Amino acid sequence: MRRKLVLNSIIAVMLVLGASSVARAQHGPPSSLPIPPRGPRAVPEIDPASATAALAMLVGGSLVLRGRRR
Amino acid sequence: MQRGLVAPRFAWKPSAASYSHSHARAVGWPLIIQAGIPLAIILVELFALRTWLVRSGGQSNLLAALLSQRGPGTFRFAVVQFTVAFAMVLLMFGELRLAHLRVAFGKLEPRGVVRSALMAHAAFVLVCASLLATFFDVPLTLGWAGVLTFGWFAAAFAALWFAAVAFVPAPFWVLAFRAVRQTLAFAAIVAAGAFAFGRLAATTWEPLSRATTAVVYSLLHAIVPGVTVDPAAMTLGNSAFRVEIHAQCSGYEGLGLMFVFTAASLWFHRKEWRFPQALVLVPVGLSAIWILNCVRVALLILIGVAGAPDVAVNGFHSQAGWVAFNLVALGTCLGASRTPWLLRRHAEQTSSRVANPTVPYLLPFLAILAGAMTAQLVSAGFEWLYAIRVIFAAGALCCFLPRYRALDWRMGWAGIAMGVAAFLVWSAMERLTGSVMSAGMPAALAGASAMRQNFWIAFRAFGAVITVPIAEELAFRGFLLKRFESEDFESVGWHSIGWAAIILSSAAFGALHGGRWLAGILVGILYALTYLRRGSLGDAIAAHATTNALIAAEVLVLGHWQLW
Repeated sequence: MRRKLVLNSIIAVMLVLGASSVARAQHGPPSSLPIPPRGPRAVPEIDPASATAALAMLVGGSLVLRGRRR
Repeated sequence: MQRGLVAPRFAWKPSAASYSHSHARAVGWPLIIQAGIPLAIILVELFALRTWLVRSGGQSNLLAALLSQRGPGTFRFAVVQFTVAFAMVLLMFGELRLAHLRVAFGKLEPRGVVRSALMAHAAFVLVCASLLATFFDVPLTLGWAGVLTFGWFAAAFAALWFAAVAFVPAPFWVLAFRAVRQTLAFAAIVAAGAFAFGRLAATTWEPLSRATTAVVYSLLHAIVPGVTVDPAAMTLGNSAFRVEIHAQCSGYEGLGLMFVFTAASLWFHRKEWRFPQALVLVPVGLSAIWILNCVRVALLILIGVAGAPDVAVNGFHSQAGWVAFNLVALGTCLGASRTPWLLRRHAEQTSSRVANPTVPYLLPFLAILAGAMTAQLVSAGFEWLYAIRVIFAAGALCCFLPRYRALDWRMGWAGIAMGVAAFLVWSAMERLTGSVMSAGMPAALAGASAMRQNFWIAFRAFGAVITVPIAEELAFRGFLLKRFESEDFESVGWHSIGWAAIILSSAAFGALHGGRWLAGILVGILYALTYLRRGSLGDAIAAHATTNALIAAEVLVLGHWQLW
């Protein structure tokens, strides 16, 4: 039962990641909010377009913090 | 000394307990081909699929419209949010299970190809392709779109499975899956929780936005002339520049990510924390990220009001959230590791005087990332301050010069030849995607003075050929390649590095190159092989620098600026 639950979770993740790769292949402008030249501007807090470098920084920083010789 | 290209090896590890690098043995090319071919087939098929979609993707039906919509609240945005949270947990904590994964690789034995499985794989790939054609060419109702989507994913999963078992026995995949299932399942659960948290917050974001608006206004009203707040529209600013504190900037995205990070940290390192004290990290982290988000919005308005709205909107906004998140996440880790009250064992309370072997390998690379984030914070689309990356990296490298003298810096013609090969691979991949040939010099650079152009190009080329190869090779081949073999990476000899480490470190290297991930993986493997030829980091750096120098030449001579 537990194995089935874990397997189902993995399959669900694969499905979502697969959908992500399909979604990324579509036409369109780079991922960002449309910015009108005048008037109020929407400001995303966490921009997925910058995720790669930010996650690399997070992982690298964590490895350094946990890398002290025991 | 062995001069030829040494075939990388799988280490034979009968069990996790008896694993030792001294037990490494060569297994030859049959096993290497056996392990590499399914991966190569899947990568090529994914690449072909992506290229086909990019070139022919129509927008004729409901599903295509659903996938193509962008921005907060769309399906695409939700998938990206989930993927970011999942990747964060997996990258941060997945390494804890690597020892088990290495055991699975160690039990891999050479074997022939199962042709029936290979044929089944080809059949399911065809099913996937035909279903995709249906998605984009035939108008569909919502119900049929759902049925076909399910069918597509089922066929894709079957295609993956049959490709895997055609070359590698199913027991290996079962063993590998068992090794990582807990981490994958936990990452999926945490990401799903964060996603659900985000959806819930999206329905109740107004109170959070009002609080954020109030704090930002209190920060700004004394220093920005004419700043006003519109509580109904939740807009803030003056006549020159205003922002709207809407759902996505109210702070809940940062709160969600921080919740994921602290929950994962508490769970995966639960043997190190002292409970219930450690639970205080959750409110501390959440409070810090929310306060920093308020400061972020205030700074954004200050930049806009100061006369640089393009910098505020196109540069600062996309980086500041991640900078704040990194500061809080890493700051929380650092602070907690130095707080005995939170830790179970005093041995964990390491001080700054304790040697940290990872720093010389990772700091130059992290300095480049920090430089990039800093430069993009103050850019308005074009990264004028690229020099910051070079200066940061050079500074970090200078700090550890005495440590680097102990490394193997031999550089030979083989490294340069491999660099040329990597350039050819990179160039071929660019041409396959058809994305490079028409690109000219960026408009911002083309419009600048000659002196400013030359200054930028000089730093860009210097960074590409000198600092980036050194920093990335130290991080990916000097550290990560060995770190995938053992936590005590300095004790790992280059002879005992196996294909699991090569593939995983190259995958990380490829992921860092965004849309060029496949080319990144392939050249990462080439650089790893260059390093493993005789264990010289200098060879890998020479290869990387050669590739980047040839790319720089193509950019400057042929005008293919999109390569930069």
